[in-house]
Amino acid sequence: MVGFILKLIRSALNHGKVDALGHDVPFEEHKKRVRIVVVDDESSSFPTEGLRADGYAVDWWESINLARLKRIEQGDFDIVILDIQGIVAEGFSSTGDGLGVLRRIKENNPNQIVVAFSGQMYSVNSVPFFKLADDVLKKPVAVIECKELLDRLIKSQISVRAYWQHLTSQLRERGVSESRLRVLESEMVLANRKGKSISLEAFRDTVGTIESLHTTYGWVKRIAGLWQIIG
Amino acid sequence: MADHRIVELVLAGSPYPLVRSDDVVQHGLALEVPEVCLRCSDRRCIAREGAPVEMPVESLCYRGRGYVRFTIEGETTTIVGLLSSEARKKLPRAAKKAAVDEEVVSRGALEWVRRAVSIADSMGRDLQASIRSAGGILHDVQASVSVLIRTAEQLVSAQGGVTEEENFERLSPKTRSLVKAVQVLKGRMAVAPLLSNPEAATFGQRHALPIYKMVDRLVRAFNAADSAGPNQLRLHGASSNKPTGYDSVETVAFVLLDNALKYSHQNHPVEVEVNDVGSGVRVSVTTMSPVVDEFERASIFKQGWRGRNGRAVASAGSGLGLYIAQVVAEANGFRVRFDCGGTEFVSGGVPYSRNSFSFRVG
Repeated sequence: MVGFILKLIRSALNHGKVDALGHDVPFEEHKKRVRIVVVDDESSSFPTEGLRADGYAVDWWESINLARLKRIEQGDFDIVILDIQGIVAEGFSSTGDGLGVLRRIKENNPNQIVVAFSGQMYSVNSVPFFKLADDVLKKPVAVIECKELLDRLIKSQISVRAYWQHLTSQLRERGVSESRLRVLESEMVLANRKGKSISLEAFRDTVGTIESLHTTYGWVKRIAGLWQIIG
Repeated sequence: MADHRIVELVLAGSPYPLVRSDDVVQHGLALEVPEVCLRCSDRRCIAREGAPVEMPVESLCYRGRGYVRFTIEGETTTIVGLLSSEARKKLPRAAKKAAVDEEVVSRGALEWVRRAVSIADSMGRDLQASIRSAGGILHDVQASVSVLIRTAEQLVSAQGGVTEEENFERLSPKTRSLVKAVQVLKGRMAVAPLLSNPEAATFGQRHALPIYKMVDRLVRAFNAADSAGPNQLRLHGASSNKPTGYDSVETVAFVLLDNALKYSHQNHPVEVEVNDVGSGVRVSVTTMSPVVDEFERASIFKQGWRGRNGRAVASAGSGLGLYIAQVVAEANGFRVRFDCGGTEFVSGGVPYSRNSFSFRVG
């Protein structure tokens, strides 16, 4: 309690705002900080190398399992590009395919950006998959289409301000008080000035033991990613 | 899940139920307007809420008549003026006796509805199974086309230029033609899924569409891919507006350009205009192409339809392109318009006129 009061006093003295940081980064630099993962069993379907050559940070997984799903849930990626068929390595998808994975991601974190990536547009059964996703890329896809979609998503939805709003909104839903949010903001700004990100332990100390702590901490990690801060 | 097109097939091929009103026997499906009987003014037999097929006809008027309404895949059919056994039993004795035949016909109508829905459901399941099988083959084709696209992109990027345009210009003419042909192939593959799943036209987010840039890209792709052919697309106009729509708008432009090249008379270029109109953008594609007879013009966007003169010029064709273009246009909140000029000349026995397809986005 004493420690928290000290933090509260410090936050009152430090007027830094999280969403004021990182605004002056040019788009070409900003897009390089956005972490993208493509989940598709066919490597040639997505122009991974073409996008990397243009500066996008793209990972490729041929399948998804529980461990990889946890990485998504814990904020390792800003954008997930998800195929529907042939990508589920273990039986954790309720539908046995990408739709079940998408539903799990969205149930866990509705603000996680997921792009549906499939050639199954001909099938009415695919409608729920495409409608639940935030956007769509249809196979076969050209690199220019991927760039246009990614740039659109990055400009409209990926910023420190947007992530800070997601984080504070989720914390308020979990009953975290405004004073604790002010302390959290102050600590993040201070850490940013030192070129660091706050740890999970420090995050828990500040906001308390809340439901889905790791998922919510994922937004801190995403903000750190946009600030280009590691650890 | 049933398919409304199958419903149309079933309904067209099945005998219509008959309903007797006084001494007049009419087709049940014709009774969708309040003309069953004119004995009451409130027309409660044409209520707005539908009764499920499984339930008996609900009696709604003092003469005991009711209706049944069934919906398959969003298409609703209502049969009015029906009389159930329960309703007939409640009629006054004289009326009850007189309504025996009517009840028999009504039972027949209900049974017909049940059979139609059951058949439509069964055929719909078969259709979906066929689509799934075809989907497996389509998946393999998509995978091959993806490899082609990646190879084409690598060919372009390997030129060492600063921009994509510069890299493309460094390619040999034949390689440029190949790269653009792959783009056109990709565009054709985007059209087919819309036939079995029109809802795909609304997948993704609506966003600002650079219409001029979109059409310019298509024109360049078609021109480079068709370098050996006589027809060329010429792009005119100026546009900076970016109206909101789905990515599927590109499919509308693709179909119209593809269609234009197919039917345009040789040595007559296809004129493509893109201009700002208010806050929107208007695109028109004008060709010197076979005359569409006046009585055919209402059918030009119908599925599977091809005009007499068009068939004479290009024997191969599915008649699906313009149908799909209109489906996608409507999903995006606009329609494609067709204008046909008067005959300007005859070639090979086929009359040609200046024909134009146009649409406005936003």
